[in-house]
Amino acid sequence: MRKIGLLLLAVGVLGLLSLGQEPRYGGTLVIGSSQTFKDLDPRICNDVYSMYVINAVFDELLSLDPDTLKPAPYVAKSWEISEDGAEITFYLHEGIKFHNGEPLTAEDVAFTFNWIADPANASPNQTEFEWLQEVVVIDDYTVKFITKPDWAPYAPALLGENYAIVPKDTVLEMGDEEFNLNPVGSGPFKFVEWKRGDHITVVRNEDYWLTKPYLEKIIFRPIPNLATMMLELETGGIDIADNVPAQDAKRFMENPDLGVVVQQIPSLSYFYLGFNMSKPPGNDIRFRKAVYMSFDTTAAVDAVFQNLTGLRAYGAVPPALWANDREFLKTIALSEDDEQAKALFDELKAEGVIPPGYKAVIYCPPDPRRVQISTVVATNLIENGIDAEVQPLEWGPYLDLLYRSEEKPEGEYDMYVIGWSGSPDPNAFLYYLFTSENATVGTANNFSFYMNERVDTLIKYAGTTLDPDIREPLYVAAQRIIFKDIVHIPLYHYIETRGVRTRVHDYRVSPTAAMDIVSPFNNVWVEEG
Amino acid sequence: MRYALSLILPGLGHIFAGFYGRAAIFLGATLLNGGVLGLAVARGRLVWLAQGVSARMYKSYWFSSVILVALLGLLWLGALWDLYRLGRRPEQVGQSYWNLVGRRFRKDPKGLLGAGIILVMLYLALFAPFFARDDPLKMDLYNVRSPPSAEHPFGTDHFGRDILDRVIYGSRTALGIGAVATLLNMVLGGVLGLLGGFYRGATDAVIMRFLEIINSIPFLLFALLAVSIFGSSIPILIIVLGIFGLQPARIIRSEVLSVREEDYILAAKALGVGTWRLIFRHVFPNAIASLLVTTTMSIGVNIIVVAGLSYLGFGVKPPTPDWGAMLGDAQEFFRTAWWMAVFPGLFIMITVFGFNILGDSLRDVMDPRLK
Amino acid sequence: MLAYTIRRFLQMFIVLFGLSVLIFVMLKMTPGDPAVIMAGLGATPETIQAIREKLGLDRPLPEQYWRLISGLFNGQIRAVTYHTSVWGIIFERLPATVELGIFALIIALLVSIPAGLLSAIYRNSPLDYGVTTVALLGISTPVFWTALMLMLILGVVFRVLPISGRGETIGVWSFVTWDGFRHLIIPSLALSSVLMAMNARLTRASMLEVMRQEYIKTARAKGLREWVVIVKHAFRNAMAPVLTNVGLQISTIFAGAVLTETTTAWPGMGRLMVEAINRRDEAVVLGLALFLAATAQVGYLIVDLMYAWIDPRITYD
Repeated sequence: MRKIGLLLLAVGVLGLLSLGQEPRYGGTLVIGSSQTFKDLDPRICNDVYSMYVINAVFDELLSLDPDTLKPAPYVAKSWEISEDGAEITFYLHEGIKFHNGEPLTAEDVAFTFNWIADPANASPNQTEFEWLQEVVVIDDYTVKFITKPDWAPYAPALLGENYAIVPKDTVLEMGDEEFNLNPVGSGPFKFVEWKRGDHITVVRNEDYWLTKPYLEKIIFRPIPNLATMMLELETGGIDIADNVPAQDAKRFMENPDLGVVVQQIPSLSYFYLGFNMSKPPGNDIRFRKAVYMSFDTTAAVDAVFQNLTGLRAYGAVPPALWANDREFLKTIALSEDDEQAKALFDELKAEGVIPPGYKAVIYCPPDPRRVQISTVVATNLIENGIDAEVQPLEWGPYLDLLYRSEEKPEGEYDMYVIGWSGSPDPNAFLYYLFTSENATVGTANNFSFYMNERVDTLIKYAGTTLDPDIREPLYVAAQRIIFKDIVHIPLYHYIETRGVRTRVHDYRVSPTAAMDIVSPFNNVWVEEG
Repeated sequence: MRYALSLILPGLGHIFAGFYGRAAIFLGATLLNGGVLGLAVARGRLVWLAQGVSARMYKSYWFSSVILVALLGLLWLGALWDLYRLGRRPEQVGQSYWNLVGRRFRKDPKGLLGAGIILVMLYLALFAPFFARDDPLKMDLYNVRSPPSAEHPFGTDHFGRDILDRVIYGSRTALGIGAVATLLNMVLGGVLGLLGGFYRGATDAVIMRFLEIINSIPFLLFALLAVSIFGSSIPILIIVLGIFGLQPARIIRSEVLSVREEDYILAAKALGVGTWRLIFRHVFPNAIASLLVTTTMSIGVNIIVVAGLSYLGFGVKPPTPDWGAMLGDAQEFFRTAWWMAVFPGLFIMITVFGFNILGDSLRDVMDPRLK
Repeated sequence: MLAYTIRRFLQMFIVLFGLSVLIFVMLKMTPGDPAVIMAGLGATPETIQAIREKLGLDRPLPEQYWRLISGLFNGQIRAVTYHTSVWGIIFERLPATVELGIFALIIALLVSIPAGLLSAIYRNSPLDYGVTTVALLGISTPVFWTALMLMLILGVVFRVLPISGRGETIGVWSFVTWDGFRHLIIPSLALSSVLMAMNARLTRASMLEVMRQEYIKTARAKGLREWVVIVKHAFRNAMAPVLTNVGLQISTIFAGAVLTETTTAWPGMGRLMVEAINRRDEAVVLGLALFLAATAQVGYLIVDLMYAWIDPRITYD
């Protein structure tokens, strides 16, 4: 399936090249987003949808090379990591100006990141800068990131985190709320207006330092209903749709005259069904095993994604990254065996691990794919004699459910379906999801509360070096323990799927779900009409 | 003799006694239920015949089988009792207000169509396991979204589940929620209306303000909040709908208020008859016409509202079959698998349509001024 | 009458107070600590605590209630997730919904009054049945489905109208621009399908009621032509309940608008409501609830007053 994804991407790129037209200046691009925009201040924005706009209005410190998935220069033209990894020094491009004329200097960089890292500001992005001690200004165009002592070894891996830079003086003058509504960046497009719930308009920044953007204007439109979005894409009401369901992708591929190219790339994501291992029945491996054997994971993933937009997962690390150990993990994945599952469930019922009248509730976010997979699991559990249902929750209540507080240290869930996407390093997947440091009351990404000293040691030790030859076997060993323990049932890696009208050129879907219109690697232009 | 005949088959006794109209009704009902019984037996789904079914399906079979047997029993007893009644006082039959309504109703094609539709849906709901061909939850992940065919007359959905079977079972959820919620409307509304009309004064004011609060809250806001608090279970949906449709309260209250002042009530009061008894004797018969109309219509409205909630993702939880949820799921596939939307959509439409025209027709035939 | 109106306004405040308490209690019962939700996935306890303090969520409930309510009245309270004042965001979204509602209503009345009239005049004829059937099918189809079908037919098959959104020129008077008007058609048609049926049936019932009255018989007996009787005498009197009833449809329009707006990406209050509930933006939810309830209450009051104005026999004391 992965091959299919890559193949499609290749077809998409070829399609773009074969036209061989000359880029032209001008024109409007309309981008459809499947969710409403929330924040335009990059310091507090934590949803990928608002990031579409932020990518256009602001510049990031680093960019991501779409081919190697390695950090590449952007505002920072180069950087150095100290021997012990405790300090990262960035050298900035000179002469970058914000849209209001304020120059972009080291002051702005320091201000942006120190602000995010300060818990008092309550930025939702603060968690991702837990490692940051302080950002220090060396001179106007040199800035140094100092990591907290325990975190030093991770610094290189943390480079993947991209955050846009805000103008310090302007922000202080406007105030945080006002800035969020009228963002001023240094990016290729200037913010014009935000008609909430309908659209955001940005226009070309004529003085953009990197290159002159081809596009005159971009309109970002939130269209919460996917069926509506597909109609808009088909009729040219929008040029790019950020999400194309598999059946529509198929339709667009089979009917090239609809004028839509489907672009795909395996994303750096991992979706799984997790068990709550703090209490029965989730803490009993027989239960986890029986659930795993109750349904045909491959068939479920194939049916939901139609062999097109999702790839069956066997482990946590996406196959696009190293240390994914996919081939081995495939051999220990369990396949459907209803007889054995029923026998295990009966055994657990007899022992009282599954109490009489037990109803297995599978919690999941409202995203239709995850609801669908959960429905398959629930149906198969019902067929194997465990009453089950799916409870889709909006993100708010869902996060609250998974959040462990003093009042509910064991959590009030048994099974949950969720996803994780991270920066292009195995550590971003394994450290957050499986170590006991991430399983504490108050803060957790390890919602299963899996605690295994050997796994902790392996993952932490792998983080102390930069050498992939040492790190890889450690990550592989850790994953083998984790997936033999069936902490999660790995479900799928999402294949980022975007619909792009044929009039759009030089657009490339990114594995990080970003929406790059003008970057060091591309500059989108549109044909007339 | 007529009783003996009636024991053999309800309605035969009526033919013998010359009540052909009633005979037709009884015979028809017997034939209908007998047909269902035949189907159940032929498919081996009568719970006492069924073998090797899962506990869940067994429960479903049991429910339908018991209902069917009870219905047949009622039919036999009903026919006997009717014959007995007809034999005792034939002169009274056909004179009451209800007989008048019945006669008028029989002449109204709208009402008959509505009643027919509801009857069909009701039977689908009650005897779903006899009509459906298989378990509505059964997935076939290798045969998803296949178009209507001989094997799957309504096609299959995105999990390869048979849409016909899900539509049949879905009638249970739709009618169940619609009917129970409306029942709750009646009970809650009835109590509030009685109290308000009876005590008047402060009690009435409090009740009326409460009704106004309920009436002025945007329903969906309340429903979404309630569902996020308690989760989207069927009982919660029923309670939310039950609290919101309190129109019966107003109807009963105004009826109580007007009845109170009638001369005969005042006279009865003077004679020392209990007021509550009077209220029950006189209010309900007067209010029943408008209550019936409101109720019929509100079942339809409730079905539509549940469909809307399911569409917003706040409805019935998967994998329970439900028309609204099916329609919501189908939306994403509406260009590629039209059958996923068309059939549940048609069933919602037809059912709600049925309740609405029945309500319409009841309003016409029960209007005492239309003689 | 004036005394009555004043009393109704006082009652309205009691109702609104009760409602605000009810909604507040429900918000507090809702699982999902707003601070946890705003902090996002895997936030540290410090971050969550900081947000809690910022929003005053660590205070006792009565104090929180007072903060919200007084904040709503003096305009101090902020819609946290929208970075503006609560009324700011509500009034920003209001014109879109009002525009949608009014257009839907106009379309509905334009279609349903003649339809209701015809089916009343030709009572129990095939025409009557036809109109009734179409009207009932209108109510029996979920509005989101009607919207989707309209988009498919008008937007994709015939390509005559834009599919969703409110167009580029947005403001209170968006619909006077060609672009704004074209965007308005599909959503308002969809929403009107619900109202059409209701009003057609109301017109029909009201006409039948009026036609039974003595003065119509008198007019007929005088030898006036049938259409004169119908138009001059019956129709005018029959319209009163239909038009006044519009005030009672505010809640229905709004409920329909929630679904229509979601399907057609219309930037109105209905979507704001769903969004605010999902984001646990308590101030916005409460503000919206009070605003909508007050609107509905005023609507009811106007209906009552209009009845009295139209029919001098009705007095309020």
